Amino acid sequence: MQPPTLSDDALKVLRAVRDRALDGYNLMSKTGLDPQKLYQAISQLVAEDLVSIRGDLNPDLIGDVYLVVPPTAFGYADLLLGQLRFKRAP
Amino acid sequence: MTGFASPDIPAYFSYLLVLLVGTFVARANVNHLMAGFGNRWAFAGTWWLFLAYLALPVALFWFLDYTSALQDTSLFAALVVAIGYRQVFAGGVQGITMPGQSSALWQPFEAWVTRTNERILTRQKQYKDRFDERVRASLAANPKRLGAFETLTLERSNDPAALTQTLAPLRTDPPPPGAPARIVNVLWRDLRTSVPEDYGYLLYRRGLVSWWQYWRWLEDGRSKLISAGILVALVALGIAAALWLTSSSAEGEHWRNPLLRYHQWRFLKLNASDRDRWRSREYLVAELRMVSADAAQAAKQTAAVLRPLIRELRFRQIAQRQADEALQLVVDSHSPVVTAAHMPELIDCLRTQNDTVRLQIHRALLALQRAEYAGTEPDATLVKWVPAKDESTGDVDARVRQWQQWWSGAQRGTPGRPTTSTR
Repeated sequence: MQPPTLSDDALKVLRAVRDRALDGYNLMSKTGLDPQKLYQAISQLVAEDLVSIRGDLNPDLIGDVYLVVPPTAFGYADLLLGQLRFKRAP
Repeated sequence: MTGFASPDIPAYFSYLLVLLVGTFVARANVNHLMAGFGNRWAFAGTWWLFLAYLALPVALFWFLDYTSALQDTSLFAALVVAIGYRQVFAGGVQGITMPGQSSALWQPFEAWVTRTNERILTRQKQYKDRFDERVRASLAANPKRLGAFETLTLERSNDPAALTQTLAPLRTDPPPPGAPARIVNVLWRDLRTSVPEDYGYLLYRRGLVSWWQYWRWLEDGRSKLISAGILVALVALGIAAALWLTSSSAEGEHWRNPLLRYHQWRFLKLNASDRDRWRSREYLVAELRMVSADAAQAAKQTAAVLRPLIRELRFRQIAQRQADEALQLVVDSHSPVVTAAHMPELIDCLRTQNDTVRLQIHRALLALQRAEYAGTEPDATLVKWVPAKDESTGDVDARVRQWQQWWSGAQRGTPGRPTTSTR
């Protein structure tokens, strides 16, 4: 199976929520993304079933969403984050 | 892991160790799984997850012992299972192999964990939204508080100029409908974006939320209260259990009966270690040595110790070793009061369908007769009797009645007489 092509922003978000659930406000603070970019990144992760989301997925209300990586997606998330680390190695 | 060198400890210590270490591991697992969930220990679902994570190593330890993949008296096996049960399920621990397809049970468990986790996340979001809503409503309802909130937000905003500009259309005269609530919403989002972690603390410091509200919702206060309540209840339960176990009834302290049952279980356990079986045997022998001199009391005490073991002798498929051990205990612990208490039941066990065990019982009866009733000889044909495989039920019954007749005579202190039905 071909791994999905996630944007850098989506991977940033995935890395931030891999170990703990975060709300949109905290995600913006940790990733430095603005609401629109955060919305796009989360949309990608949701499409790949990598995160579970609570709240409306809407750019205007993105701060109020809650995001968590479900236990069943831990392995998949680690694989994607590991690939990223491998690619960036000199 | 059955052949793994490890200190051999009583099984109750092993299970206690698995439970104790498992408690810390389960707590760590739940905290890791739900990291970022505020007030996570305030949800019933979290406690179910915790209990499931706690029960898992205990159940796995029992199961692996039951299937002889390890021994439940092994100290190291207990530690390995308590700490690394996930790896055991995944087959990643050398020397411990899950039998058959049992490791596949991990998948439904993980699916249940995910569902529970999702439910808790939903509830947590609901509670958090309600808290936010209450705080926002209280700010919007009071112009003074709204003013203080605006000052705080402007002080902390990443872009105060843009914030002021966003608020301008809401500050017209007359104000637009719902202006205070809309102003609070704009300020709320800005404050939360600027200080996502500490916004609650800042609100509390400015007196915009009470300490109780802040502590309960943003400092995991509900979680702490419920955890403390459960801890107090468990300590109280433990103290009550300890008091009850050490209190006395007519048959002695209450802990004696569970301990006796434990040793009977261990004594008959087929895959118990030699040392474990020896420990239980020593305990049972000691119990039999302590029986009262009073016949009625002695009969009761002996029955409590030996009846469950003697009853096993009737089971056709009893393992040779179990029968050997049980009968050896019966013979070794002979004394006038003990032997008198179990003799009728032991004689009746001759009716077992297992001819090998019948022979062993017969030999044990002869040994007991020589030890305690040497003055009352059984019939010579009975002494020479060797139970055979093809023996009919009637023949066995006749031998049983011969033994019973001898027993009647032995109790009266007269020699046994042969019955007419014997061969």
